[in-house]
Amino acid sequence: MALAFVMASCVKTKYYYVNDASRDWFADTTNLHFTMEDENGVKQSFRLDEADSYMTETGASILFIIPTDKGEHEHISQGGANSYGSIRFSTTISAYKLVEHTDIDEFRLYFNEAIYAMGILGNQFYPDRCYELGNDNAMDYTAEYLDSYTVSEKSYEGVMHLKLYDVAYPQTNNFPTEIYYAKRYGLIQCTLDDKVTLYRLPD
Amino acid sequence: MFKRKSIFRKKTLRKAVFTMALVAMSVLFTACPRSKQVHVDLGSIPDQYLATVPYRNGDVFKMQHESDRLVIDFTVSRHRQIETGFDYVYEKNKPAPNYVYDYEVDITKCTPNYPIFEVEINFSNAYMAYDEEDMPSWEKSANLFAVGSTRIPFFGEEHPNYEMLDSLKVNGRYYCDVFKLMANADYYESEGSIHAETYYYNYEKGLLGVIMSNGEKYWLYED
Repeated sequence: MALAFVMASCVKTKYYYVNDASRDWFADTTNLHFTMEDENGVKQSFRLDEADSYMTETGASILFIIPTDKGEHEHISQGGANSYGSIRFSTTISAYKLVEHTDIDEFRLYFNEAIYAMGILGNQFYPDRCYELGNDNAMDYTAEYLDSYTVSEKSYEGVMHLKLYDVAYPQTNNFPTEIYYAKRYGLIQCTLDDKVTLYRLPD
Repeated sequence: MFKRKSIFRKKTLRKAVFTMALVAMSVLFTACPRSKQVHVDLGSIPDQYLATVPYRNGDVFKMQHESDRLVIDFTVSRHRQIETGFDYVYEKNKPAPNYVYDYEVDITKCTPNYPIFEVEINFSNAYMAYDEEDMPSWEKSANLFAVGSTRIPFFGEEHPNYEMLDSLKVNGRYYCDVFKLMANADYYESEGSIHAETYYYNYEKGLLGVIMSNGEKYWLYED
């Protein structure tokens, strides 16, 4: 009993926070409206309507009689949707510090039925796989950092470009096969089902 | 000694008040008239009303965007189901009857093969209405939803949300007896979003056109 008490008292809690550089991938404000237009001239409204920040705990355990530390990990998320009900997306960045002794955060982009997962450290991306909800098959994609990228005659500094190059698996409609995501703006361009591309219009 | 006696009296008084309150509450509760339950079966929607929505399960119709470059297929799924509703009707000095009513809903969903809005028409025979004596009645109602909503009128019905057009020319074809329906899009307006403002509809073909708040137009496209 006394030993257990002593061991429990040895457990320390470590706090992990999302890197400031990772936070740059979120739009400056929520409740933000913007319009996107595709190559056929169809315009649709989008709104960022979701923002959250919370901590989760990874529990301590006993490893060879040695108690391991507890972890408190920060998660931040932001999301939005179009008013037509055909597109919903959100981004979650988690301070899991995926690789020991590094500051790599976990980045997850949920877009309709797709999940793009990767590690992120500043402007460095470590792509994992893309998954379709309810489908175990993972798809490969590339993630690159662009210093700048222009959409609808507006130039954005610091852009994440995700491109799915194995599009055999998706079973659902409006599956994002290419996404451009700008620092402090969020979604600026996306291609759905490899055929329709939406471009964000300047405010 | 005096103090003890006082405490004893207070405790007795409290017990008596509590017991009396309990008895009074029980009497009041049992004396209240219980609401009776009235079960109403509204039956199925008559065929002549269902015919005002011309789509069949599996149909595909096309809408053309005003840019002329884009023709969108809408695939129809349609089914009927029985649902149960509950409603209280408050009448003066009478117990409130609890109405339980079974009604039919006919649901038509038109799913586009393009990332825009769905079109849905819900037909129900349980649109609740009250007569002059506050007695409930249930009316038939068909409501169309597409980034806004409207009620599809029946012939001869007076309703402020529509104009009747003898004919309308769409993509080189004439359509007769067309309803020009104003969309109710309060929610989308408050969101500052592009939404539907006007729908064109007739009983023979269904949705003939949609005019959006930013002026974009979608028209029925028939080969």
